[in-house]
Amino acid sequence: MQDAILPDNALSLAEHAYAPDEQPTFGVNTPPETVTEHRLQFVGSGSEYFKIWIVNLFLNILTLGIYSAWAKVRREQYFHRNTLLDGSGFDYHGDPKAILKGRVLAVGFFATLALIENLAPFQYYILALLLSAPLIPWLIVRSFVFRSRNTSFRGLHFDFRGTYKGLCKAFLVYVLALVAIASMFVAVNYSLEQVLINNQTTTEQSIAVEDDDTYVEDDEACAEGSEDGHVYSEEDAIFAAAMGFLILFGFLVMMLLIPAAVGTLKRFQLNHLAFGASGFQTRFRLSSFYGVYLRASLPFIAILSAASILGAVIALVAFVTTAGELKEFYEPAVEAQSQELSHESVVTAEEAKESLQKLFAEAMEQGALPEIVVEAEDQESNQEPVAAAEALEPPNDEIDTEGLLVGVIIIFVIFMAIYLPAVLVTQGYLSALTANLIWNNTGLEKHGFVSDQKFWGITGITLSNWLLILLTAGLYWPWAKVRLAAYRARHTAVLAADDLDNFIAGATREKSAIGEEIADIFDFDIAL
Amino acid sequence: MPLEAHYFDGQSSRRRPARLSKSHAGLLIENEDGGQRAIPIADIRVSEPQGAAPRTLRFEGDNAFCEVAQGAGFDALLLELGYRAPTIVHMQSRWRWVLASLLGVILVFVAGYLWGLPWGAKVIAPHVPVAAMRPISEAALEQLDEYLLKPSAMPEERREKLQAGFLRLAALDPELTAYDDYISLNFRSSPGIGPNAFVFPDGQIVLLDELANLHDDDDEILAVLAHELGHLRGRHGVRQLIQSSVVAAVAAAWLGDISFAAVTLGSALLSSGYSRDMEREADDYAAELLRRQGKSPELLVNALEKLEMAYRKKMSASDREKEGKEDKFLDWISSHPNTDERIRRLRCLADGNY
Repeated sequence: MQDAILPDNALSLAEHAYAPDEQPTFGVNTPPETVTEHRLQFVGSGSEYFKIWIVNLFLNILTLGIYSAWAKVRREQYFHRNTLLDGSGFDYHGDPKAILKGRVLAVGFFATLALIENLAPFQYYILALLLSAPLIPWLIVRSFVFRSRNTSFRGLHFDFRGTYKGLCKAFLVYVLALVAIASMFVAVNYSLEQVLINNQTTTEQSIAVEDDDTYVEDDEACAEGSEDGHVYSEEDAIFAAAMGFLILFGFLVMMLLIPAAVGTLKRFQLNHLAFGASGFQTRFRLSSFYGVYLRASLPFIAILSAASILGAVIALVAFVTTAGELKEFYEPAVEAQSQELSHESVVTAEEAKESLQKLFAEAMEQGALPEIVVEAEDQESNQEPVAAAEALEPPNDEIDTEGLLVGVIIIFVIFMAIYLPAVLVTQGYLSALTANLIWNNTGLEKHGFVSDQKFWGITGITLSNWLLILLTAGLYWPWAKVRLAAYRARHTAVLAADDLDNFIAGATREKSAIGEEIADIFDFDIAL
Repeated sequence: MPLEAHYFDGQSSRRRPARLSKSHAGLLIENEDGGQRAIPIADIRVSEPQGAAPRTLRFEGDNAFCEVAQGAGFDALLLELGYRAPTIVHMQSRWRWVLASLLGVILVFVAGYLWGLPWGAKVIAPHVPVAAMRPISEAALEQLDEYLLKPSAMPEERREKLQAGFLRLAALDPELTAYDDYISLNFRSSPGIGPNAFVFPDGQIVLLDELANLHDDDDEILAVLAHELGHLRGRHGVRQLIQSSVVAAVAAAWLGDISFAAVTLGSALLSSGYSRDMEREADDYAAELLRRQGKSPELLVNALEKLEMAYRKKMSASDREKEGKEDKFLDWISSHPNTDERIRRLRCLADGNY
């Protein structure tokens, strides 16, 4: 009977007895013997979604974006309804008019921010911060509420019971830490400025005294000091180093807080999520998120180190094979440069180094072609070096700008081919590991969940998706989205203690789309 | 023939088998223990088809609903109930509409890029204050100074002469007073760029020694500067800036945040240099300025011919063959009108159309 009314592909639903080695964590500590694993199943297809997507896109353009609210509802419905659990689909009930209202308000909010930026560009960042900081927790809570209340399964709606106050409380520690670090940065900045001002006044005084002296002597005075002529004491140097260390320490603490903060948000999200009248419960520890971030960073580190080693080997080989030639045409140029430098009254080691770096940078820009044009910086003292340069110049004396362009393109391609995939792989793996951690440690009454996304699976899908999106100028997007949804569904399961018939409805409450739409534009990751 | 379905009461997650059929009262739902419920046709809300996903029948003013598999049986029931799918569903399910939408989207993008964008930029550009172009122009010149430009070696005397000539030229057009704060002639040299002159959107013009050295007649140089003033007057720089920012923003929205690198490349390719129309506009403007001074547009023709000759000479015989193809490609993407065409146009202007 039940099978007869289900779509054909739902028949293949994996329903097998629960194996004891996949020990899940249950919300209630009575693991029953008759647990059934229901895999989620995504029955949508790329070509179907492409049709919906392209028609909606065209209507969006025709209606100047007003239709986008209806398009969003159709998109959400496609992905919800095509996700089946035990043969029944999820559903999405967002009201297009509520979404449109939210979008209009979101646009108004950003217009206000832009207006503030125009009217008060200097106070903008402070004002924007003051305006948006109290708004962010509200946006997060509202968007969780809107999403969950508009999602249903078997006729029961999800609900989110978290509050603004609750979220602020959960994040109090992080906010305090952030404020402490920020005030430390301000203090460090202020004290460094004080040191700088003190030194400037002393230098100005000494200049005032030596006002009648010749420029050469003034230059010598500069040369004795640091590069900009100010004289710093040893204590100042130690102080500056200590301040630098403090700044580094501040950034380190901020980085180290990220996994815990993400964990806190996920815990807040799930512990206040309800299906009907039943609440979800989580059991993961915040410390587990450090493991997740550490593991997720491994492929990134591996890819970048492999690329660096490869690059170093190539550079070494290139250097060994061309070292002789390079030496031949760099040497006279370096001589000319030092000749030029000797004409200036005082040369600090710093300046000499800079000039040499510049010369080599120029040579590199030219794609290491033999046309090096040595050029004096200073109009007054350029007679000799220019003569030297002329002697050096080959008959065809133009810098190869096309060579430069080719160089830039090569660097760009290397960046595209290594760094971007590394970022994509890391993002995909991080989301997979996070989902695994969360769902394997979450329960709903006596039911549990399983998430078993794998590195190679998610990596293969991520990379091939983005490659095809780039190759098709974005037209592959619907297929990419469907493939990812199907993978995630395949690797998520509910461990049902019974036939899932016994949930009851909770109290229904109003739904406002304002929070979700502003959050949508901010691009918060609020997916479960 | 009754249709097998699942019935949910909306109060619990309990799933009950049910049979659906059309009766005189509307939709008849029968459950396995003989219970019956009839729903008036007007109260039925049928979900849109979403691929293979089960369909739902919801009832007005009620949390209960039925879930039914797609198929011939369900289609027959819908037909009996007299259900008509919304137009949008027809569009989404027929390839003819899908292809039309795809073509429409492509058309909008192409037309927007070819006509909408230049038109919009032309409308907006005059409202952008010149001062707003200051920081970006300063930054661009600084970058160029650091990497490609070198100080000019032109004798002071000649600089002063050109400077004076340039100011006289700029004073001819009262519209250019908008740039009074920043308009200036700057001298640089760059063997890398070769003979050239360029203008920044805030009014700073850079003249390279390589170009000045091509001409014995300063009037020819001034003709080139008049052409650059034409770019300024037409706000071509601001327009280019607006266009490339819009292209970058649209590409970012289209491809998603990840492909920012692709976006950079794409917008660089799509917005390199001034358009053919802008070059023509600047040529016409230069001819007009020269005419007001009682000079012939032929001066700009001479300058262009010398530039073209210098450019041809630059390519030695050995790599001309190799670079020929690349140049064609670069020429095509930069969408510059070729020099011959510009010279012909200017000759027409000189021959008395004015």
